[in-house]
Amino acid sequence: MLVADLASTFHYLFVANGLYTFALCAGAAAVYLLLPRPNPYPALWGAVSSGLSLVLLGWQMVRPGSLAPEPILFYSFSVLAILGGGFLITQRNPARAALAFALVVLSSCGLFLLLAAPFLMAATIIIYAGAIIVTFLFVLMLAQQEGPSDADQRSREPLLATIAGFALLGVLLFTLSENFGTDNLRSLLDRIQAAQAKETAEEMARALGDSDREEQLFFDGFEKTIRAGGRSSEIQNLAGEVFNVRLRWNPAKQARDIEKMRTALAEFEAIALQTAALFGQLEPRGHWPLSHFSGPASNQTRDAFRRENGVPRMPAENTAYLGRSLFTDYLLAIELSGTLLLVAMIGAIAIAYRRPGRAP
Amino acid sequence: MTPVPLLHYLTVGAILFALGLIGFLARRNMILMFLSAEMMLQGVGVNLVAFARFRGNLQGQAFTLFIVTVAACEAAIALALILILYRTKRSLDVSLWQELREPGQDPTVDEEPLPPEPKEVPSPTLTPSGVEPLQPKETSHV
Amino acid sequence: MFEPAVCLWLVPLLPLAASVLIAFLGPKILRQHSHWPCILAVAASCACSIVLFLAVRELPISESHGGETVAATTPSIESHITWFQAGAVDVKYGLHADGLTAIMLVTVTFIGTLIALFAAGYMHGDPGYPRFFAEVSLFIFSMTGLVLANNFLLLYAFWEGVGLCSYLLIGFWFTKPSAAAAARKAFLVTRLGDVGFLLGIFLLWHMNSPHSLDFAVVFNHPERYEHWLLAAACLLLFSGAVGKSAQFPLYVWLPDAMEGPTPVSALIHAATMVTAGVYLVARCTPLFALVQGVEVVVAIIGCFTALLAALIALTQNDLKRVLAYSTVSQLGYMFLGLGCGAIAGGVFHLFTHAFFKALLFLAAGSVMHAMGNIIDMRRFGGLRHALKITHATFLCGAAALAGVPLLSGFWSKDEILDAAFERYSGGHAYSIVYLVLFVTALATAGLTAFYTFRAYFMTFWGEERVPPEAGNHAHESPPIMTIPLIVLAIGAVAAGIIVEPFTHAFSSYLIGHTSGFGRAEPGTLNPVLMILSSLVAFGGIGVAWWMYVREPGTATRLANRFRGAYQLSLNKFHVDEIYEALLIPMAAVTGLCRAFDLYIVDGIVDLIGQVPRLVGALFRPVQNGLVQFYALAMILGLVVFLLALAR
Repeated sequence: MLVADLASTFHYLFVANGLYTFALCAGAAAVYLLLPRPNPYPALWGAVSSGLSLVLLGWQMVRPGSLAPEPILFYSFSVLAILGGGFLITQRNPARAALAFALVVLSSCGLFLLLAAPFLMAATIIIYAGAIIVTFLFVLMLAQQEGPSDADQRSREPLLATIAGFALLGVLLFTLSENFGTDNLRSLLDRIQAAQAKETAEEMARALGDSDREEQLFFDGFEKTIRAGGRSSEIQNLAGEVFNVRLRWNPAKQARDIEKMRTALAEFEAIALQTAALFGQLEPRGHWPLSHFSGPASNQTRDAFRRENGVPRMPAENTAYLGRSLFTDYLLAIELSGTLLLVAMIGAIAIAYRRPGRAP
Repeated sequence: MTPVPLLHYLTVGAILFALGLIGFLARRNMILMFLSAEMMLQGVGVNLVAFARFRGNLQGQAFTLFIVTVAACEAAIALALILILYRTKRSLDVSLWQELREPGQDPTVDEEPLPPEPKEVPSPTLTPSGVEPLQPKETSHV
Repeated sequence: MFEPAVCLWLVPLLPLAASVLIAFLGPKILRQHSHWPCILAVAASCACSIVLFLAVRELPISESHGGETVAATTPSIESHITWFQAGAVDVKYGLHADGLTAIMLVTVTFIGTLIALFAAGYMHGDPGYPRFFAEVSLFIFSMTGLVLANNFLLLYAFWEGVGLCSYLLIGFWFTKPSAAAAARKAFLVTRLGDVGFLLGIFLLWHMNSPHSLDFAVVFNHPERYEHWLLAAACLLLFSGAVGKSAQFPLYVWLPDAMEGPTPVSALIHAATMVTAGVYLVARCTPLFALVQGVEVVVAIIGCFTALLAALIALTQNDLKRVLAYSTVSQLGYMFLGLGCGAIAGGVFHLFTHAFFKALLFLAAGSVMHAMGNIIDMRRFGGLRHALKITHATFLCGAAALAGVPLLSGFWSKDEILDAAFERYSGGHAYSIVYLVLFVTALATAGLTAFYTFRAYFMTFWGEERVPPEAGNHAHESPPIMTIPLIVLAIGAVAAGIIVEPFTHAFSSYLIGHTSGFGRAEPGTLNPVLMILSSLVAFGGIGVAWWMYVREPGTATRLANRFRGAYQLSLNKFHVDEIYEALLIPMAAVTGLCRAFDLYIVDGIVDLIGQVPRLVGALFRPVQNGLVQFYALAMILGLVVFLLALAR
């Protein structure tokens, strides 16, 4: 029993998702090698290791043919953010680490921009990179004017910390890929799109499978993948939809009617895209009273708002919408956070205040 | 043209979170510990905004905004506290604060000695020009 | 209210209630009146015992068919409640009263009452007054329970009970080191005998096939037992009797037990506890009667002890010591009687001995009371005018002990001598042995008379000397002490002649109403023997009179002449020293046991106590005060949790 368990775990870790695992190991090695210690390892080893892990991760995740601006920006911002983060935790000099943090903030703000959150981007840059990092640097300059101190040259439990962090990361990544990984769906979508690109009816008829049996396998895989995407009724309905569309596809294929086949394929593609968008999502609750100010409420059906590639479109007037939703749906939270800010300000002054004349 | 899938954004967020975690656990400077915690919050923010994008509403962004607000308050208070701690021990090392250990436990001390600082090579100096160097007093005229 | 079955329970329980009452209320509330519950309870027990005695007399007599023992269905008064049941074992608190029990009960309670009265006067002013009476009541409870028990287990329990009370009472003045040591010695020496007793009980248990320890079952057709097993069992039971009744080699505790107060010596070490062994052997008569060899052993040990103790008593200067050795000697006589098959004789001697020995001890106590607690006979003398009543009663007791004709001791001793002679002349298997025993017993009788009257003359005759501790003036004891003396003196004089020689009331009562005694014969009167023993007795008295009254220096001269023998007798034949030399090597074994207890048993317990500590020390380093370490521990825990969930 135990041996079978171990064997299946081994297979899962190293064979099915080998790239992930090796990327994680390389990343862990990189961090461990680069953490500050009195007799540091050569920095080259850590650099090579981190480069290797990023490459492996990219290999696993990057889609071929994604040379559009959005993916390029995404990859560059994320690589910057990750490298900045690595720099932050391994740098001996605390001032340089603070600047690396600034780099991380800027990169993640770039990501925010890509995710249609311009106001958040600006707010984060102002607050984080502008205020918090500057305050940190002030304190550093007051406290440690000479640069790295003795404490900065050592790490507390580097090995255990690395293992803990990367084990957590590994669990997270594996869980995410299980629940949100749309690779199967992507490959199915690719085949459908390739079938759509065919010119002749004959080729289109055979695009989804050379024989009847192959086609059956394809559709079985399609349904299974859809059903695996979640337990919400929507996804299950989508799986049922496949069957309905097949009822139109089959006679069209028999008759080699290219228009009808194209229509059917378009419907298949729509189903696949919708599933991709719905992957891993929870069933929306029907009875929550939510306004529409922050966008379509989660209890709204999917047809109620604009979509594109299966993903809903964000409102263009992002700031206005955000402001409206903050002051209607989240009014109480706004007021409370205002009070919190006031209290924090008073508290910080009260804590750090030194009475004149008292010994430091 | 396929957009970047949700999974990738979530991965980035997870990686930032994990790196921040390791930084918090491993670094001994209090400021750097705090910065790592802030990086963890950034990762969470990326996650939330990604979800907001893929669901089509602004709830994630509002949440992230509140996170940023609270992070600011937290930074203020934390820095005030760090300042007080610094005043007591004149150092930002968090390992100096071990008084809350079990009675009977020895304090954890660093064992590995730091490599000696390279001696600062004094910059070479030239003798000032225009000044005659001191000659030894002549003792015989032979 | 006074029906026999209820009396059966009242006899032991009344003294027990009194003991508990005195124990709780004595120190604070009753104080000087602590004797009332004790005396009242024991007197009530005595009344109940008499009721039982009469009730047993009403029962039909058991028949004996030509010497065969009837299956033990001799009627007796019985009552029991179940104590515990475990599988096949069913142990009851069973009390039964038959002839032997009734006689013992009457003896114990009657003498106990008188002694309690005496002690109320004797112990007056002692700080441990309530404790004394609580312990005396407890003792009466244990002793009556012992004779009332109807199974061996309960008998053994009460056996230990009387041992405990003896320990408590000997060590009554426990702050005195010699008293504490004497108490320990008594307890430990009797313990040795008790081990054998317990083994004997186990053997009896094993020998019965539906395992049981009830008397009725064990004594039922004892012919069915295998001979060697039965002999072994009887020997083991006898070893218990040897311990408790101070026979050789376990008699050494009795003289030292005189450290206790005199009423205690009178009650426990003269009249009642030491007779428990005799009771045991008498009770097991159906078994002993079948193993002639063991009977002979009993007789030999009894006779030897009698002789040894008499020889030692010749030279002792302490009055109570003389009486103690005299007790040992007379107990030997009782065992001799039992060994010669004279059950009635042995028990009769027990009965009469109780009276006159208790009397002698109480009179000695009266003398001590008058002499300021001095008991060395060399320091006082000529007290017959100062202490008239004490003198008269002591004389009665001494005469009875010596075997002066027509007094009680005479008849009982005669029965025993007669039985020994019968065994010799009756063509018994070991008849030569019995002849030797007879002659020895006769000689011992003479010695008994001698040393008894030696003590009498040294104390009451000669010129009057009162030691300074008594204030140079001796006064008679108060009535509360003299009345028991008088009653006992009457008993010592008259008890014998009334019950036995001419009416055989005692022996017929005993034999008729006790199961298993069907084989015993009542004693006969042998005129030749009577004359012989009278001559011996008077001879002893005369020699004593000559040596201590007529020619006072004779004793010293003889002592100087026979220095070796005198020293040997004075030093108790060095038995204690021999024991000490033999037992010291045993200390090695005790050292081993002690080391085992100290290191292994205690070590294991300490180890178990250390386990939480060690486990704690394993986990304590987690709390090292570093915040990052705590965070790391949390994260590791979270990772494990997540891994478990992600399965």
